[in-house]
Order: sequence, then C-alpha cells, then structure tokens
Amino acid sequence: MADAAYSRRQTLRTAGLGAAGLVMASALRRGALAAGSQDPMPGAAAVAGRLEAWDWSDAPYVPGEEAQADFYTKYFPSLYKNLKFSSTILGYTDMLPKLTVAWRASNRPDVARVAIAWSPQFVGADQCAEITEQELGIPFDQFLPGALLSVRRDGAGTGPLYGLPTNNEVMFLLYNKAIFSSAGLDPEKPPATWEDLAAYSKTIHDKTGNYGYGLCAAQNNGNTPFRFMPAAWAYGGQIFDELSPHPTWRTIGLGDQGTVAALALYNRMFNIDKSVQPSALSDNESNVETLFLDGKVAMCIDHPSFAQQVRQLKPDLPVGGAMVPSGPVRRAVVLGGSNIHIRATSTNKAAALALIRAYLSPYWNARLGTGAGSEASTAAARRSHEQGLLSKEIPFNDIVFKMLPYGVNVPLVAEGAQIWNAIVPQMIQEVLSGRSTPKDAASAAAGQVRELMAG
Amino acid sequence: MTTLAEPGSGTPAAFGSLRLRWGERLAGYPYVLPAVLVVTAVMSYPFVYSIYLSFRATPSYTTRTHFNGLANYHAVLHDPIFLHSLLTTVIWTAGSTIADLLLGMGAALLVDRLRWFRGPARAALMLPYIVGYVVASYAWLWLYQAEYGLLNDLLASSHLISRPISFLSSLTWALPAVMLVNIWKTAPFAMIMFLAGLQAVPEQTVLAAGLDGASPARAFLEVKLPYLRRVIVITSIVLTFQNFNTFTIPYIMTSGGPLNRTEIVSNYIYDVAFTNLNFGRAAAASVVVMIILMLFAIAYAGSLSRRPPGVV
Repeated sequence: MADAAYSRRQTLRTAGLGAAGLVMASALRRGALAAGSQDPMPGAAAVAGRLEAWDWSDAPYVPGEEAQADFYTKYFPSLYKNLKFSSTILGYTDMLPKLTVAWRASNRPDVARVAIAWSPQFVGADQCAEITEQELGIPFDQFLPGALLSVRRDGAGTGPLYGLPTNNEVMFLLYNKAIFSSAGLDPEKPPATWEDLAAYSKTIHDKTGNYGYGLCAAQNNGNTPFRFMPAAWAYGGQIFDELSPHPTWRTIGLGDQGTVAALALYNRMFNIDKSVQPSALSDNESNVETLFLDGKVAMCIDHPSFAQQVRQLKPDLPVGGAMVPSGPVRRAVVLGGSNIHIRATSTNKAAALALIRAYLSPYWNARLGTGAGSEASTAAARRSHEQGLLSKEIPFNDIVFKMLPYGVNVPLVAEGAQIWNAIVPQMIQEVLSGRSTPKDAASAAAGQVRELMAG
Repeated sequence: MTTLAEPGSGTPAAFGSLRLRWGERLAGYPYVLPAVLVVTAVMSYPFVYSIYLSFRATPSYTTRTHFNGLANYHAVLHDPIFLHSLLTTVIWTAGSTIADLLLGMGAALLVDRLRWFRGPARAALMLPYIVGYVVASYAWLWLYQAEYGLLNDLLASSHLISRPISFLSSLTWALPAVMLVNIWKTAPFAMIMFLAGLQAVPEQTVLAAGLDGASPARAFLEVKLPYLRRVIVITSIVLTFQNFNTFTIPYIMTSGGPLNRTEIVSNYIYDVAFTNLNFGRAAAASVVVMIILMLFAIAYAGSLSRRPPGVV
C-alpha cells in the first residue's frame, strides 16, 4: 500500500514536472518566435471582430518573405485569439492598382502597407484614418522626420499623421572592383561626384569595353526617377521645392538649371561618351541588375536588397559599395520605404492599431524592415539587438545608414505618381533620344507638372 | 411524338403542330435565362458605369466625383498622347492583322498539302498561340536583349552588325519589334481557321479545276479562295478586335516606350486610370475606343450578312 502510495505520488510528481516542462518548452518556442518583442497589446482579449491586411513583397528575397509569413500567419494571429484576421501579400506592381480600386470602393482591406510614393494619393483622398501618438502608444519622434512628411496631408511638416513609416531605405552605389582594376582605376576609390561617375564610366568603357554605368531610363517606370533625381538634386534641381526644410509642394522647380545639368550629364554618358548600355531607354532596375551581375556593367545605383542578392547569386563578384555621388550643391538620394495605413472607413480601428503596434515593435520592425531590403523605421528597432545581428549579415548596411540623412522625398502630392512615373521618365527619354535639348525637355516637363497641378 | 404537317396544308393538325413548335421554342428560354441575366448584369454594369464615369470629374485627391459634361472627352481628344496612341493602335492592328492573315494562309496551305506529319506540323505551328502572353513577352524580351539576345548574336555572327541593336530602345525598331511578337502569337489562330476552311473545300471541285488545266495558283484563287471568303472575313474580324484590344505584350515589353512609340490605346487607358488616377478621363477614352470598335462591328455584321455568290 505504501509502495503504491509512493508510486502514485511519484507518478503525479513526474506527470506534474512533465506538464510543467511541456508548458515551458511551449513558452520557449513562442518566445523564440517573438524573440525581442513584447506583447504589444495588453488586454488582447478585447481585440475582436474581423481585420484584413494587405502587404506587398519584394520577391524573390526569401528571408523577407519568411519574415512576412511568420508575422502575418503566426505571430500576430497568436496574439489576438479573438480576432478573425486575414492577410494578403501582393506583388509590388499589383499592390497600387488593386488598393486604389479597393479603397475607392471603400472596401477591404482595413490595413495596408504601401510604398512611400503611393501614400500621398491615399492620404490626399481622405482614405486613411488619422493615427495619434496616444492611441498607438509609440512616440512619433522614433521616426525619421522626413519620412513622416509622406503620411501628412499635402506632405506638410506638421499636422496629423494618416499612417506611419514601417521601413525606410536609400539606395547606394555598387561597383565592380575587378572592372575598376582592369580600367586602371583604383578599386578602393569609388566616384565621389556625379562628374567623377561620368568620367569613370567613360574610362571603363574606353579601356575595357564594358559599360561604365547602368542607366535606367525606361518609360512609365519608377526606377528611372529613383536614379535620376539624386543627380538632379545634387546639381540643385528639384521637381517642386523638396530640398527645402519645409517644402510647400506649390513651387515647381523642374525646369531649373540643376535639372538641366543632370539631363546634360545623362546625355553625355548615353549619346556622347556612349559609356552606358544602349538599351537604357527600355531598361529598368532588373535589366541593369542582370548586366551588373554578369560583369557587363561596372557601376549601378540600387537598393540594399540588391547587394544581398549579389552575395547570394554571385558570391565571388568583387563588389564595392559607396555613397551615391554628390554634386556641386549637395549629396542626395531618394528617401524610400513604406508606410502603413488604416482605411478611414475601417470599422475595427482598435485591431488595426494593434497590428501596426505589433509591426512596429522593435523585433518585428527590424526583421520585417530588413526583410523588405530596407531598414527599420523606428529608432528603437534600429538600436535593437535583432537589428545588430541582421546588420552584420547585410552587406554595406553601414553605407545605407550613412546615406539615410541625405534622403529626399518623392513628390508628396496626390499627382506624385504621374509626375514620378510618367513625366520625369518622359523628360529623360526626350533628351536621350535626341528629340529635345536638356533645357527644352526640362522646360516642357515643368509645363506638364504645372498643367497637372492646375487641374 | 410530333407530327409535322406538310408545308402550306393549313389543316388543324398543321396549326397544332405549329403551336407545339412555338411551345418547344419557348420552353428553351427559361433554361438560358439565368445565364443571360448573369452575363447581362456582368457586362452591362461596367458598360453603363464607364459611360456614367466618362461624364464625371474624378480628381485624384478625393473619391468624390462631379458632373463635368464633355470635359473628359474634350481632354482626351485634345491629348496628343491619346491621338498618337490611337494612330499607333491603327498601325498595330492593321499591320498585325494583315500579317496574321498572310502568314496564317501560307501556313494553312502548307499544312494542307502535307501528306505526312500533318498533325505534328499543325501542333508545332499552334505552339505560339498556346503559350501565355506574359511568357511570350518575357521570352521575346530575352531574344531582343542587346547583350545576350539570340537575335543580336545571330546578326553579329553573320557580320551584319558591329554593335548590338537595342530593338526595344530604338524609336524606329521598337514598334515593329513588339508587333512581331504579337504576330507570332496570333498568326496561328488564322492558320487553324484557314486550315479548317480549306478542308471544307470539296475535293472534286479542286480536282475538276486541275483537270481543266488550272495551275495550283489559279486553282487557289478561283476555286479555294471563294470558299474561304467567309472564313477570311470572320477571322479578320476576330483578329482585328483581338489586336486592337492587345494590352499585355507592349505593357510587359516596353511599358509603351520609348517616348510612347509602343503606347497603344489599351496601355494609354490603363496609365490614365491607374498611374494618373484620372478614372473619368480613362472612361472617356474607353468610350471613344468602344465607339470605334462598334462602327467596325456594324461593318462586320454587314459583311457577314452578304452571302457570296455561288457559295453555300
């Protein structure tokens, strides 16, 4: 009997220890998934109802897709058991037209993450709900001030926010050190100015037969102004008055001398020196990337994610990284990234805020931001342990961080996409095709912007 | 069992039979009514809404719209890019359709004369038609690629060029290059239609022409072609609509560039709607295009109603 009682106690203790072990193991697993993050919403049980989120993926970057899958299908749903949550990950090019139609119809989704350049159209059309510091619980001084312009109405410097940055990025210069050496250039001395870049490009083409610089000039393509405007800004050119500390987006600067100088530089490389690839007028980012990976192009300006792709696809390629060249006026680069918005007519703002809070928690902000080939948007995430680990894995991340303060916004007006994707590329094509002089093309483009803004 | 009355007999049996036939006819309508209703709703809503939207201002900074009369039509018809895209579309449609018909007829005659391997030959020639538009566009992008493209490689190895030609960046070559892809995709449709038509030509008529001393060319022109007339008309109409409405190939290969050289109206409408967010103007452009296509459809219906002499 005593033996039996002992045995029962032992059994119960063993079972109890086993159960405790299982609970701990389960907690550790959950902890591993949510490593570095805290439950962003105490009182999760109160968050109920339905919530739908749309995001986009910069495929085919696998770690980024894994991070999105973990966040949207495991982590966030695990926090809010009473919430019927669904998410859709769209391709970059699909996202804008689909969301435009969906939100114009005041339909789903409740939350959407969009590229910075797209935010003004949704904010300007009153389609996004205001988000306050109090309801979100994250101080707004965590974000880059320039990035916040894109979530205010009319790109204003102050005023309510209608979304929040999820990730910010800038491009930088990648170059092939082997081609530099073959051309007699110092592989440790990348071009410091745009003039240097044009001169290097000519030297490389003349001495090696490779194309010195990968020029993107495709029509109706955002890749084109993403590379051109840094040059225009470096020479003091502007589309509106975006270089001002407090842009008004009312003054049109596109026809100015800075833009003309940058167009002349492009014209020199394409038509006079012929040091860039002849297919530039139809080449987008991917086309140039292919040429760079194959060693046909010596220099290109690209996203941080491309550096990661280079390392994955061509680990032996001797690639150097440098800041985007400066010009006589300044150094500049497009401040890219994404913002997350809540649909103004969403009936579940509490859940939408919970999602944003979770997305912006340091661990996930770092992981998702890096996964998008970008950087975390909050200072807390950029200082986080996770970001430290990720930065060690990402080539040239130090250069990206150094470039962030030089970020300049795309046109933060509702007509921004048309100006950015259509008018600026058309202006460049007019010059490169030899149909217009830089001055005439810039002047015509300024006229188009003026007409567009006048309605 | 239905008793058929003799034509013109006028007997009660005949009237009964007629009533039965009407009953039979009416009995079919309930079966197709759901499909008719669904198709009508699905087609008529966007149709009517597009017309409605074409008379509204749809500023990009708000979801509210307001009536603005004919302003969208005025803007579209005075937009040089729209007029240019319309001209490009006419060149695109005419060029593609004529090439489709000629190549399709040539291929059909060739396959029709084959004694062996007709099936495999027909299948091989149909391959481009089966391949998806996106796949075809990307495949041809690589063929045209300046640095790695097969076309440039062939031209260079034949010593015809010293520098690679960037077909899709060239103001001269871009449109023909993209049109060629479209022709490659659509010509097999013409071939299969003509092949079916050729196989319906009575063999004894062709043999009789041969016995009468007609050359193969004459036999084709005088005997086969009249039989093919209706097939040619139907095929050319279908291809005209198809080519006029093309979107994918120029969108993927050039996005309408360089300098709108390959911008056809479908791409223009898409850009105005989804890049410029001017849905009213895009709707007006769509209505203009619809009117053009309707005029063409009326001409098509007229040509079909005229029965060619001597042909069943």
